[in-house]
Amino acid sequence: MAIRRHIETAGSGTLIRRTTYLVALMGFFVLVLLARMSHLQLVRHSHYVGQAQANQMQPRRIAPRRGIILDRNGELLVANRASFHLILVAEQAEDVSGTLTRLENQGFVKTGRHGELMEALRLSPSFAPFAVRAMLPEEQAARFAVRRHQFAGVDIEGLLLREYPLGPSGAHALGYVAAVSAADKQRLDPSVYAGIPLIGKTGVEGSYEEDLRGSAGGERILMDAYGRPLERTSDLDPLPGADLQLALDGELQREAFAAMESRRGAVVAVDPRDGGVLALVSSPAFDPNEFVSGMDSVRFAELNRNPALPMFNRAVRGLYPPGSTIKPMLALVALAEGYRDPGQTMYCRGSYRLSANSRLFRDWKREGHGTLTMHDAVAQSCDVYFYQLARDMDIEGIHEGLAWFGFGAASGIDIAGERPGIVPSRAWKRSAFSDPAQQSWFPGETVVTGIGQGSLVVSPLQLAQATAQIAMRGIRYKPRLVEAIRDPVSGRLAARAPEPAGMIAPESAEHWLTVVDSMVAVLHGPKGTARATGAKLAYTAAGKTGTSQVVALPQEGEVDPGEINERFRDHSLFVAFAPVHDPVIALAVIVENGGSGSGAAAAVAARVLDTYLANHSPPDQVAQAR
Amino acid sequence: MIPAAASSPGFGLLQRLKLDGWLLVWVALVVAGGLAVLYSASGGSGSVLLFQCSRLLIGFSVMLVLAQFSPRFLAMTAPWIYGAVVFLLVLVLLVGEKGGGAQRWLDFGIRFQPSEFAKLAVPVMVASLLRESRQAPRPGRAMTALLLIAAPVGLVVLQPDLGTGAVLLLFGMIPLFLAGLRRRFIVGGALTALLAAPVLWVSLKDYQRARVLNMLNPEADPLGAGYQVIQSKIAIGSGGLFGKGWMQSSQAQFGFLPEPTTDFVFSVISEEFGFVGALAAMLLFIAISVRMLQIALAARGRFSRLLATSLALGFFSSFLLNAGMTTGLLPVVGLPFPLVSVAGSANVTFLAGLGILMAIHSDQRYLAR
Repeated sequence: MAIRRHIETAGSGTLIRRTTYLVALMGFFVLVLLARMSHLQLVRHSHYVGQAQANQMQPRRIAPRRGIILDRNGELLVANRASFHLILVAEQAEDVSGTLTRLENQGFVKTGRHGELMEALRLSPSFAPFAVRAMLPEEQAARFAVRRHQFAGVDIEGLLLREYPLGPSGAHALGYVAAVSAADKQRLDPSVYAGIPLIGKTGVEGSYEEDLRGSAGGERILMDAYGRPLERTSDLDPLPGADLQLALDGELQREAFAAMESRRGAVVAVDPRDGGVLALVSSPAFDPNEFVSGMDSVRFAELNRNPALPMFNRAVRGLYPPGSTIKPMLALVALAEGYRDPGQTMYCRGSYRLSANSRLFRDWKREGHGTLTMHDAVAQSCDVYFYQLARDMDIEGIHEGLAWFGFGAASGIDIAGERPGIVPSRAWKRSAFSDPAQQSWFPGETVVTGIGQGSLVVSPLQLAQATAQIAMRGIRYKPRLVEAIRDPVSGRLAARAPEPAGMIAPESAEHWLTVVDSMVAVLHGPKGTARATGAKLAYTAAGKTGTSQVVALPQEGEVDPGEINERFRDHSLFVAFAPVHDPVIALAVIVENGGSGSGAAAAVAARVLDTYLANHSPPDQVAQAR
Repeated sequence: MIPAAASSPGFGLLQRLKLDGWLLVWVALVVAGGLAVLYSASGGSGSVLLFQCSRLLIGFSVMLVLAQFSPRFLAMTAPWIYGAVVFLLVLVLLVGEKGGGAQRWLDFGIRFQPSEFAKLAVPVMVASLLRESRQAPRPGRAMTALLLIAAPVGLVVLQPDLGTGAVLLLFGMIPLFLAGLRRRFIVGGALTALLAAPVLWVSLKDYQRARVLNMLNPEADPLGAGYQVIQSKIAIGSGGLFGKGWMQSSQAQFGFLPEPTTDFVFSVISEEFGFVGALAAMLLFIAISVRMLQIALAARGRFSRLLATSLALGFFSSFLLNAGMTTGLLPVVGLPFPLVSVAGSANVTFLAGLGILMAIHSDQRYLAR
């Protein structure tokens, strides 16, 4: 062969030998390469298949539709509104700062926040979508969609935002939602909230969070290396949240809030027949819509610093001395327990002493009411009558009796934050104070409890509930905002049965009649303390006025000097129910520092009753009214 | 079988054109398969295909022309060829076009990369220099050869193109080694390289250093320097035994794999045709290289044999280097996959080299007759 002939020539040996070395070396490299290929393609194949798929299939959560909230008449109280965010994925944008500048120049992102946004983007992971503009107006969103290709890494994200048509008037009853915070995530099951952007914080939104929330779905999006979605695969459809139907009457809620005219206070109206809360207003309030769009820390601090406490739910958390509004309840207990007979009279000379040299307890009417029965004592709100009654019942009797009406215990309303209030007793005083000098009970304390002062404090909700119990002549239902829940799958509306919470059954039905009649006389009697208000009513109602000396709410921050005088004024209270023979509404109103007597609170109560009864009172009852 | 028929009378035309049937068949298979892969890797782009065809056409023409010259003529003109290429390399540094942080291109109506031509010119020059001595080259001559290698290598490194520079050094050293460079030179050179390594490391540009470090641990920076290798390994690994099928490379189609039509085309082959396809590609390159070695061993004259052997080994190492790079065995240095990558100058050079092989073959055949 030719090869052999060349081997023979000088120098060929080296060439052949060295060629062999190099060929052997390459053979070795071929083996290394083969080993590498087998490792990658055969041994680790499934690993790399997973990686290739992970490259393309981006899992994404689909937020469920949060349940909506309707009032008793089907009016929308809390709705969902479609909104668009402009999101930027930093790692997909070629030049983040430049992209942001162009977005600003074209008006998609508000100018003046460049530095702030850049800093926020720097702190968030570069692969995570970041909202550079929340709530893009619809026409802007359309304009952006056309120019999307100019902005690598920027996209529009549609989402449902919460809308509260009632605004501030519904704030404390309905509550609000806010973005799921880092603190929420610590506390909650992260798998449940993956893909759910909002969480109910207070009110119905907060306490019915689990029903309203729904569950997130999942999809995988086939994406290319530039983050462009190519195809979607739905793995799991999101399950919408349940819709709620409230006992609340939207119109009444608005009206009650308006009647408060931004004064501090609360209105709670319930349907005595089932405990449905018709209106639950705390004033002043905040606009829950502000929380939806993401409230900045300055505004939030401002709300919390406001001395009028707009974030404080007075209706369930505010504790006030009930003043004279407690008298009908005490009267019923006195009749039921035999401390008084309906016909029994006493003489009021305008003041009361426990003993000859004890402190003088004055009646609101200096000259006294003269001779009066229990009926007159309630109608004219005689203090001396109730000083004496309290003395006879003793604080223990009062303590037990007021518990029948639900005072001193949480009512169990279906929103959070309720405070039980205080119905004093000797045992209570011993446990409430650590200093032995403060622990003993004085007879004078019993006396003032008789007119709803002293240590006795109740919430407006409790007061409304007790009034409802009188309206129902004994039965009290657990108060509730939500009457029915609509199953998101079947669409069926499941009504919740009213839950009795307390029953008072005195030996004689006469006792109820006496108390109710005395309350009717408050509004409609010739000497009724609220006869001016009663005269304007087109129906017969029962009510009771009250004023209570100021025991200030927890006050934070300084109070404006001009406000001090106003802040020392008495609180104005009013409880009522109507129509008297077939009650459909019972309420309690408190206007903080509203001045003495019936004025402020009674006017609010009358407006609420009028509004509700205009729609709900059977015509014959309106006709038979005086 | 066509190869068997190559020596039959029916292939008189090939002989008259001084072309080698075996080489042509294997190269044709690589080129045809390569075009199919390119079409897929480019996401079905006709323009990429058209560009590649035009460069391959130039390459085949150059091959056909070079096949006509006798090896003796080539040996004599070697200094001129070498000189011309070195001149072009100097020109690159003076008026070259920038691309990717380096100056690699010349544009005379048609863009080309002189450093690729050097991969052929350098072994031709070295083989020509060493063709006289039948013994191992004397120290003086060996030094001359080393300088002749060092000059273009230096110019290419200055561009800077470290990968091509290293390959050029390798292609120059192969004929020197084959010619019988004394062991003490080899040992001395290895020691020098070892000592020079730290100095070289310091003088490297940041991105070059990153590439070397990154080869050692690509996962350290998955979205930065390591990204290319990681995505390439995903492409290869996800191909499995039989691959995802033609036009099914998700890594290339969705843009995860960088440079799918140039440096990382082997990853696309491996992803779409699997282990079997990659093995077939490797076997084709082995077949071409074996045929080249066959011609080399049969060649007459020291120049022919030195050069043919060098070109055969050089061609196969080009394949190995690219495959090693895409599988993460070697640093990513931007070496094309022979005859398949969209790399005009490189492919023209590869085909020119095959033309020289064919010239050597017909020279031997002519004389053997």
